[in-house]
Amino acid sequence: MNSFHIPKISKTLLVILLSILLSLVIGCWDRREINDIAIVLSTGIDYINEDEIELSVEIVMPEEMAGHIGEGGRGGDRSTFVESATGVTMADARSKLQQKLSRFLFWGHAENTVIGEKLAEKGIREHLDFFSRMPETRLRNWVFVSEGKAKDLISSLPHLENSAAATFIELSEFQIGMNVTMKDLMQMLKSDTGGAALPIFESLPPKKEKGKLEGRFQPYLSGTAVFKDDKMIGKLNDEVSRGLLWIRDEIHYATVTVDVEEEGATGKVSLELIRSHTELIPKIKNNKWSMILKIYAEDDVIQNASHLDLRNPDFIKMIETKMEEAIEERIKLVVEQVQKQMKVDIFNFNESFQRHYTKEWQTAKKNWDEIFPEIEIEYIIEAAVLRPGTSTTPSAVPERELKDE
Amino acid sequence: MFRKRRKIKKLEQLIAEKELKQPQESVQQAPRSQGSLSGDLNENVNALRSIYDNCSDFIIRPFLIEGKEKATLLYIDGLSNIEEINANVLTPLMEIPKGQQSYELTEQEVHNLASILEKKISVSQVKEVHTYMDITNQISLGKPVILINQSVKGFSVDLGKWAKRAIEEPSAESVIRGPREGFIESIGVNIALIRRKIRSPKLKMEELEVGRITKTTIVLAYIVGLAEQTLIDEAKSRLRRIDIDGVLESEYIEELIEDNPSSPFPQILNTERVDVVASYLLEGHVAIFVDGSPFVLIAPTTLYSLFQASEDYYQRPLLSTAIRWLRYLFIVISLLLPSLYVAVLTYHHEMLPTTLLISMAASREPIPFPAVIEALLMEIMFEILREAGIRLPKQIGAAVSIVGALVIGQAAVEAGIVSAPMVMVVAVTGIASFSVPRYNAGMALRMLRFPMLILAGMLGLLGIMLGIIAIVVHLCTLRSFGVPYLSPMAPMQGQDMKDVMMRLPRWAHRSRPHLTGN
Repeated sequence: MNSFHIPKISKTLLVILLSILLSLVIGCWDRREINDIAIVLSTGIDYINEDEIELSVEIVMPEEMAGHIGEGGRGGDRSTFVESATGVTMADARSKLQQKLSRFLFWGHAENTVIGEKLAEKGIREHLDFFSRMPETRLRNWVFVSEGKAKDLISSLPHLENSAAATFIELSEFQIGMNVTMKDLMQMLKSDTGGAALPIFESLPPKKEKGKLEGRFQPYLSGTAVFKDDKMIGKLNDEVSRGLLWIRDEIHYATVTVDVEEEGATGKVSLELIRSHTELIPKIKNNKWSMILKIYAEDDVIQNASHLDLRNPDFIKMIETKMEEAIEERIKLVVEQVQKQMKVDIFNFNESFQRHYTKEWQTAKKNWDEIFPEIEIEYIIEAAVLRPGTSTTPSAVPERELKDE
Repeated sequence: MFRKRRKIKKLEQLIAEKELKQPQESVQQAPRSQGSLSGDLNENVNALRSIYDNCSDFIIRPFLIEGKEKATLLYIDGLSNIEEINANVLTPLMEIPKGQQSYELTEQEVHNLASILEKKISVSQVKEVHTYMDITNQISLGKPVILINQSVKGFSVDLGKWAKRAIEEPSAESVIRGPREGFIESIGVNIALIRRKIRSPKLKMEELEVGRITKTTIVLAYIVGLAEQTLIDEAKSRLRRIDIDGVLESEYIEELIEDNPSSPFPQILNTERVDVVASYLLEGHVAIFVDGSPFVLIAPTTLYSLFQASEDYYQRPLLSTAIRWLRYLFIVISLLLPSLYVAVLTYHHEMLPTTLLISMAASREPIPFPAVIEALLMEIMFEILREAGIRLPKQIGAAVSIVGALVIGQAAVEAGIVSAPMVMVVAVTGIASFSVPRYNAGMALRMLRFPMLILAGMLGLLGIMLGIIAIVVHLCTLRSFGVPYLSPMAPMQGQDMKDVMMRLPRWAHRSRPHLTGN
């Protein structure tokens, strides 16, 4: 033991030496240079057969994309590519996918998850766990269902953006349709009633059109997918989806056109929504469940295609009434389809009952599926036209044809 | 390591004390340099001649006072004003009054020499000298000494004059608005510059001499009633304890009286600006002037005062506050930007916006090195250019900047050795570090970013955080003449915060600083 001899080093030197050695030992273990990662922009999941799913990812080719940004784009070239692999689970498919790529798959920038239509019909719950468990993925990425295969949708090359992913993000942030994040979806599926709704994206068929580049597809929002538990049970088309947004208080952009029928001045007036507020007021009376839908919407006139002089407040009142009717009509459309036919609560009625009638809810939640279709909906809609726009009279109409009384 | 150094220090002190007790003979080898003057002029002159053996600039001029009494004028060539000596000393003394014949002075007249000098020498400052030590001191200051036969005292006349630089605007601390005068190498001029700003007799100037061989004059300036007595005493005692052969720059003093010389952060401020010294004196600090250096030391100093430019107080308060905030941002940038860049690029890819990440990935595609190495390479390159820019003759400076711009700006990027964003990061960092008003503080930040860079390369943001914690802990332990380095932030002094993050209008400065003033 005597042979083991520590040379005399002062304490400070020892501390410095140790900290250098320690940082060399503990440091760098998860170092991953920016050139060693494959940046995933969107993820697509498709159903193959009973056992397998196909995982497709849209990956950036950085130099191509930076070239696009710097040089103003090279027509027809892709700056992303799509790679896919099949597997029993998401994680399995991912490891198979990794084998095909020379760089490490990096999900930190994936902002879209596309679920193939078929997979949506078969059930999605088991696959979502991957997103909640993996630390890299963002819980705030947008989730939607694709019309057809998810792989095809993320492979589409849009006209304006330089990747399909960018189009999805822009459209989602535009808020013209529903926008659901991964976190929202998980919450919806975890709720007592298990109803969920996701936007549907569709890629326009590659038909020849003037002014459009061949081989470019334009993805667009085409409606809403309705989920019961974790399976898609139906679709709402674009128009009906708008009604859903009114109920869920998620409407931000709406242009409503109303017909005016005044003697000598029949025509159409278009209104644009400035802001709206929807309130759900639940009522239980004599064991009868009902819901008051209270909507207040403020609008501007953006087009006056009639001969009405909008300086007259009577006309404004009339337009407001028409507007209220139009909104109610839109909402009734979705109520009919969702409440009566699909019988899934994607209106958030359950939440507001739970909040206002906690006791009743505890017993009712088990048979909510039976109660929900029976809920009576009462509409209290108030529309206000704030401004008739910058021109007071229809600009291209002669004075004498104008109806101002 | 530190303990050992402390031991050595103690030893040095012991030796110094011993030497102080012994008569200081080692430097001047003349046998009687400490002794007093004798009545014999020849003996005195010979003694001085042997002290100044082999000094070709030492001038001895024997003459007769009023043609009667032998006397000698001693001075060093080039340090004294020869014309003035001729006109105001030699001429009146040597003049023989009309109608008088030369004769030897009586004993009484010799004792009354002072009155003769009072009558004859038209110079404002005349000082009696009694020992050889006094004489050498006076002569080395440029004051000619007159020795008279039969007298045991001599007289030094204040007629020093030597070449001085003109008062110019300090190039390192220039301002858009504000006084443009700066200190020069002559301590007399420097003190006068301060006295012109602060006329109250409460401004005290205590003179000390430091340097066994250089015998440098040092002046400790403070305002009685504003500076705390304990601070003045501490400064004095620290200055007195200095035992060194030579002082050529005030940095010598700074290093010797600093609280923690091994810290990268300066704990004593230095400035060439007269107004800066005056303002600190008014805040109750002490200033230390060193002869031969235009840099005046100010103590105590806090971290925040290093980041305040004199211009802050000469512009509108709102704008000064905004600029001060910008400056704090630059300080953070100069310390952290390259390490943040490396950390994000190596470990935290999800922190960047997608588009930025992609374009950075594209620019890094041909780079053969990891981000840390790339950053270190560029930072060292920048430091080379900076250092070369200072050291090179001015004529070549332009060439260096051209080569530098081409080499790091373009060629390196085109050759695929470094990426374009890295060049930008390094450039911004370098420029930001120069926005720190005190050069030595900026230097500290610039040097600290290298360890930060290595930490970031090894541990990512965690490493940066560790580095910041280490720096803050270190700053908390620092003290400058007993004042915590981070005050008034830590410990918090509510009243003094008026001049840290903000520059409040002058009418809001109602109280004097807490820690230094009374």
